[in-house]
Amino acid sequence: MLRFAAARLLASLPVLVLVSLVSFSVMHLIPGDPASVIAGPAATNQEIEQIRRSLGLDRPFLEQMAAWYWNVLQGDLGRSILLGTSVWQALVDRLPVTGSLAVLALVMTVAIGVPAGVLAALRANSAVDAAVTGFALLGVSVPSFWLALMLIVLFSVILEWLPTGGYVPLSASPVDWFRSLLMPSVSLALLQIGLLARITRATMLEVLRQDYVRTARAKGLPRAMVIGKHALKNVMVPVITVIGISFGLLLSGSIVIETVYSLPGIGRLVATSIFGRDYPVIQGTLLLTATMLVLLNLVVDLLYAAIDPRVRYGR
Amino acid sequence: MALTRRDLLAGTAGVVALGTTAGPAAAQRRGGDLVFGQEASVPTLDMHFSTSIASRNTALNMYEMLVTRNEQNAVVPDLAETWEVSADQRTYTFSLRRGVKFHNGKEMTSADVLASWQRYQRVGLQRRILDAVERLEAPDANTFVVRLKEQQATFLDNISAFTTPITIHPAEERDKEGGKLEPIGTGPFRLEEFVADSHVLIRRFDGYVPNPNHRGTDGFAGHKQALVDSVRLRLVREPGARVAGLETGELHIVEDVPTQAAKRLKDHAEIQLLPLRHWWLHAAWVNHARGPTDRLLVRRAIQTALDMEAIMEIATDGSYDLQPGLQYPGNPYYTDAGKQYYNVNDPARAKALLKEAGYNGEELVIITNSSYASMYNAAVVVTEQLRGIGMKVRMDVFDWATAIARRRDRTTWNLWFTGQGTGPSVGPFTALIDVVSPQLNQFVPDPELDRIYAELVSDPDEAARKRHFARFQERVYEQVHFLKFGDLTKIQAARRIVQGFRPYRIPRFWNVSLGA
Repeated sequence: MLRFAAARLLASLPVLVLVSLVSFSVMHLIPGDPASVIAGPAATNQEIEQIRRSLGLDRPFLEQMAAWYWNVLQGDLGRSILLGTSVWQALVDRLPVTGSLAVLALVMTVAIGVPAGVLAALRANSAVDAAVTGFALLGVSVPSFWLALMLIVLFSVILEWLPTGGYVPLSASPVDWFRSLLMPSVSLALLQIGLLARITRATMLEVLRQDYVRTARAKGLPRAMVIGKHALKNVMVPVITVIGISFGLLLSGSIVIETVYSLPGIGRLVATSIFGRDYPVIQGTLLLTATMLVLLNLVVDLLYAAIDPRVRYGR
Repeated sequence: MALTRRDLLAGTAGVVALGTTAGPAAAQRRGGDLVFGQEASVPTLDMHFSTSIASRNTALNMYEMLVTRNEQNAVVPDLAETWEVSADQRTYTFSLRRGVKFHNGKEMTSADVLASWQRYQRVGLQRRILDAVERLEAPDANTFVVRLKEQQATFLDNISAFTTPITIHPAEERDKEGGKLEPIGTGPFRLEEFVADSHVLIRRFDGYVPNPNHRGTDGFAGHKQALVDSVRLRLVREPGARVAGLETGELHIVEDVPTQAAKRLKDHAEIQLLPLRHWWLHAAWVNHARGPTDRLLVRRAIQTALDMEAIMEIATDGSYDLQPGLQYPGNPYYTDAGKQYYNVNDPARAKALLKEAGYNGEELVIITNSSYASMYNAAVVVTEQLRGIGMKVRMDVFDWATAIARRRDRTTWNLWFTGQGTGPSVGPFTALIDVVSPQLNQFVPDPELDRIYAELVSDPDEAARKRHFARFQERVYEQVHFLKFGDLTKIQAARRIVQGFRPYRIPRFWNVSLGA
């Protein structure tokens, strides 16, 4: 198992190099740079060039890239052009916000999506099934920014239960932390709940038709054991794959949600950086999220083995 | 039109007068934490190195200038007590106010002013306004002298403009690169916390000594008193969330309320709307170097075809004024010269002009951006109106950074959609520099325009300068260097608990208090 994990991590290094290489090239190839954004549309070419020189953007592309890789190897992601801080500090400051948001949304997704999918499969073609499928369809169809605004109107403006936006750190007040993240997490999770419920339902229906389930029933096992032990374990393999993908989607979805709810997280950081062409921050953020996704995939692979005894790594 | 500007103004005028009277600051309540919801993130607090309105929102409550603008946009002293101009108009001697302290406790002297100006000359984004400076001197601790190479009638206008203001900082900041400035100034608020894409927290500076030469709020000058303990400028990009925050009371003041939301808030018992008319001038640059707009008759055809009311209605959702001036009404240099070319809305004549120009279906390329909805919407309407007179039009939509980069390439566009906010408000000299050499957004020099501009900036007689400006504006219209559509109204709103907040181009948090 350990050898497998180590090999996987080693194999992911080229992926990370490729991601950073592509992002570095693409960002530098698209028109517009931080100097233009800082100077504004009315600046002369001469003024832009001067700012470019002061930011070190006049150096040859390959030289800039080599310097960036050299610094990354030493653990230095560089300094943000627009934020005035180190990229590492900018990420460390914002990671708790997006991390909290994604984890809460993931917990909601799993806690609601899996049971709802199982229930719909067990009561296939009933009113319960129709309700779950309908809710799932709604979740997949409703744009998250619209839902976010509607939640603000209902729970903040009309009912006055929750704040309209902003983030309270967990260390400052766990209750306010939860209140500040509740609506954003729901807005983010709804799509994933819909997806997960549909996948779970479809997989469960497939599993319930398998011979081993019929055998388990035939030998007189209680229904709860048939479902909970024999069926659900087999459902979990594809479901865990989807959960892994969901986590990635939650990170990208946070760009919209963090903007609507004014949460200073990674999503908003990357959006601001792209519009401002803050190259070091874009590079650092992509490297971080790519690393997180690589690790997440590894965890998903390891979970396969934990759930399915037929899967063994390292032999 | 769901809510007209007139409806809005009629519904709020009384409220504004009641709710925003400055009054004697001493009678107002002290304390409390004010929260301001702003639409754009603050990229930097180095005002020498920023053209961002969001930066000004914060920084001009923390920093001050030698001379600044009052409520009527006239030049007034701020950190300077007085100034004298030599007989040859080439030497300006500023006497500094005494006892002014920086946020780090150090007393401000002429050495700090000298160092700040020297830094601006090196890194200031609009350092060209100091091109006429021959020498800067600090002969004693309270005197700052500027010697010019040649007389420049607009010198005081230039150095008091707040587009990229020459803010004064401790002398130790002289050699700091652009964007690396320590945020220390002499203003009534000092920086407490700055998280670039989240919020800026500024706190009352207890060492601040208000300028005794003024009473009440007066532009960026005045008798400034920080009455609230702190101001948190929270970034709330989404307009719906900003309005919701105001309704719940989480935000005390917000900027840029959408017109539809303003209609709903008009009768809200706890909220007052504060419309700022003539906030932003919607326009497009015209490229004279690329066909078909390299021909004056084609440019005239475009100018003649446009229906500005339709463009502004869609662009601003009904919050606008139509007027031809390249200055805002009320500005000293305001003129309607060239009005015969504005909002002509005569497609038949435009078609005839196209025919006369020999237009043969060449493609006209419009560049607009997705970052500013009103610019995008204006471009959509202009595209359709020009197709209506038989032009072949392509609209390219980019994000702001890409659009800016494209603007410098004369081969890729004919009309480039933009807007000017602060520029026209500080006088004609900053705004119009864009169409004179060497800036030349239209790429082809207009010697006549350059000549008028040279007279405008050098004529010592103010009345004559106003005449030159009127001629300048008319020339811009005649040659179609610039297509002006109209003026956008920006709607701010505040909870009624907020006292003393007077709408201005930049929110001023001094002399503002939170009632019970």
